[in-house]
Amino acid sequence: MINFKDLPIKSKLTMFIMLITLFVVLVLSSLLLVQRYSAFKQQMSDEFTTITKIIADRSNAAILFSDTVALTETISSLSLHKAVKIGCTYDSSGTLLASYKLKKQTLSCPTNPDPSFEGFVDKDFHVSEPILLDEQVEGLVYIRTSTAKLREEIQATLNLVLILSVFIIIAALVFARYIQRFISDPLVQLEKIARSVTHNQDYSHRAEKQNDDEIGELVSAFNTMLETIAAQNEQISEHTNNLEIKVSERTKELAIANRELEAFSYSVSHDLKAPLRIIEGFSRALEEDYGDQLDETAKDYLTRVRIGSFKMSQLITNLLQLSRVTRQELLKESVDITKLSNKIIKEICSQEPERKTNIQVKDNMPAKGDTDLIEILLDNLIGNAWKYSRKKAQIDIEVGYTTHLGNHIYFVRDCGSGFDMKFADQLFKPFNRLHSPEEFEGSGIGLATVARIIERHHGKIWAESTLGEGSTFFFTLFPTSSNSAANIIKSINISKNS
Amino acid sequence: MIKTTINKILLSVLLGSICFLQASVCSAKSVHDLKAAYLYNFIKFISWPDEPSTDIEIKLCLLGDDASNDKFKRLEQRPIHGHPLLIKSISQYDNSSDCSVLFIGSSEEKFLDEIFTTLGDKPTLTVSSIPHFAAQGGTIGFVTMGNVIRFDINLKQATKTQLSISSKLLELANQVVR
Repeated sequence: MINFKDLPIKSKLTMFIMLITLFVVLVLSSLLLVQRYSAFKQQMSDEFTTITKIIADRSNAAILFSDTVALTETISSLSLHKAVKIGCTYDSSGTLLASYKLKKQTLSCPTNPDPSFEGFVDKDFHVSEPILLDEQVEGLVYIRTSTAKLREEIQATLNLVLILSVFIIIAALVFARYIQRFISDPLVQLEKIARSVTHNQDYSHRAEKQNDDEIGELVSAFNTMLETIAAQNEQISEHTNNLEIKVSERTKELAIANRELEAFSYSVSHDLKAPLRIIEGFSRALEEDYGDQLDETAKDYLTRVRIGSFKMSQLITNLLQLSRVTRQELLKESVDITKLSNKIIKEICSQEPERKTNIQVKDNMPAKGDTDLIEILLDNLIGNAWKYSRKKAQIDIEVGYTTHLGNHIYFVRDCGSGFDMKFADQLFKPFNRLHSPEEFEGSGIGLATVARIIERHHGKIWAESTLGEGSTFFFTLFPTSSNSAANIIKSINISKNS
Repeated sequence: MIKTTINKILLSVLLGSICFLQASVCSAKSVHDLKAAYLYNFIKFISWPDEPSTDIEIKLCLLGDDASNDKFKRLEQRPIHGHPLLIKSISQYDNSSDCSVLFIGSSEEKFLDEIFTTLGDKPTLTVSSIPHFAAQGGTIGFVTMGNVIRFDINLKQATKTQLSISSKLLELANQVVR
């Protein structure tokens, strides 16, 4: 069934008008019928009461002179009215003196009828009138008439009412169809324009105002709203343009500033190396040439000077590297991570050949990226793995990758001291160290450099660790944008657990 | 409508058709009883030119001897139109009699002309059982047809004496002299 609420306004209005019309027609028809019925009834009652009175009046003399012939003739005059079924004349003692019956009538005169009665009984109208002379009751006239005429009249009225009702309803329907336009047409037009505006994003449309009623007001309000939206849109796009211009200006400024800063830090780092080399060179010369003349305390001081200058040199190297990683033009080429890893591991092993190691590097690890930068990246990650495994009896390092939705996720795993996962977001910030320099040496720049390299390869880097049991560093290089880091991390967790 | 009915009634009355019901009524009462009742009822349908005020009696004079006189006397004091009926027996009619209704007994048949002369145009209703009474100049005359009592009316005489007779009574008359 159709919900009334969902019907179009046109149908609703038509329905309202039709309902009201129907109601009015019904009420008026009923009233008319009732009125006509009672009027006919009254008319009939009046007519036959009068006839009966006339008969009674015409009969008084005949009753007095016991002239039944005259009585019969008088009562037979009822034959002129076809509605009369029977008519009876009685004397004052209730004896039937004369009667009249319509042809084929089987009814007979009642014995002792009510002396003064008129009313509708058994579908017929009954009336009895006393025959009076000098206010003395001399007899009684009784008449019974058919109400067929009444029913015919009512039927005729009913037919007329029906025809009129049909006519009125049709007229109302036509009228409703006509006047509902004044309300629904502007609304339909408004709806079309609203739809077109929504669809085309064109705010230049305007609804046509037809009347000054509430709907006209609505149309005006709608048009005003469109104007406001158009104006605001214009303002917004203007703002956006301004903002874009500003952003590009700022970006340019920022790039210039960055370049200047990098050039500055590079030159500073580079220039710092020269005096360091002098300190280192002369310290060594002092130790070699005048070592025998110096006492133990002086030698210790000299060693400390050399260690200090070495650390500073390393720091400067790392800073230079960080700056280079940022500045250097990025190449996108095929990189063999297996080969690079093996080269780095071989180098580290040669520095501490006495260490017991278990190092696994997966074969054939292809990648896209800048070879130089990826070498720095791997150098840092594998170096860290080695460094933080130093307290273990054996150094366990694994370099490999998994594939998730077409992306390679590379990882470097160790079984070293690990870190607390609550500091995981601090890992890749420069100069942030989770371990004290006494525990593990380092500048705090390594992972910052790694993060910068990954950033330049539009990749992600994250780490998982359990304190005392080891860490795993994952990274991606030029992943397809559809895969968010969160998804990748999740899939890694699943693969690891399985 | 009513008029045609009246004609029919008159015709049927003339034909003298008698119904059984009437016969039964007739048999219960004597001819004289009926005549008394009829006379009483005639007065109801007749109006006099100077209708007396209610407290004055209507004077019914019984002239001469008649078989019905005893029955008439029983009507004494019975009111008609609010007037009590006064019955007076007279042996001879003269101008001082002042009767509204004069019933002329059968004994006076020979003196009818004399009586009518004395009455002149006085508004007196004359009733009698004398045959052809109405035709001779009386107002209403009883007619006996078998054991049914009917009456003739002399409308001409009634008009002359300024008596107005109800059409209803005329309708029931056996014969109307116009």
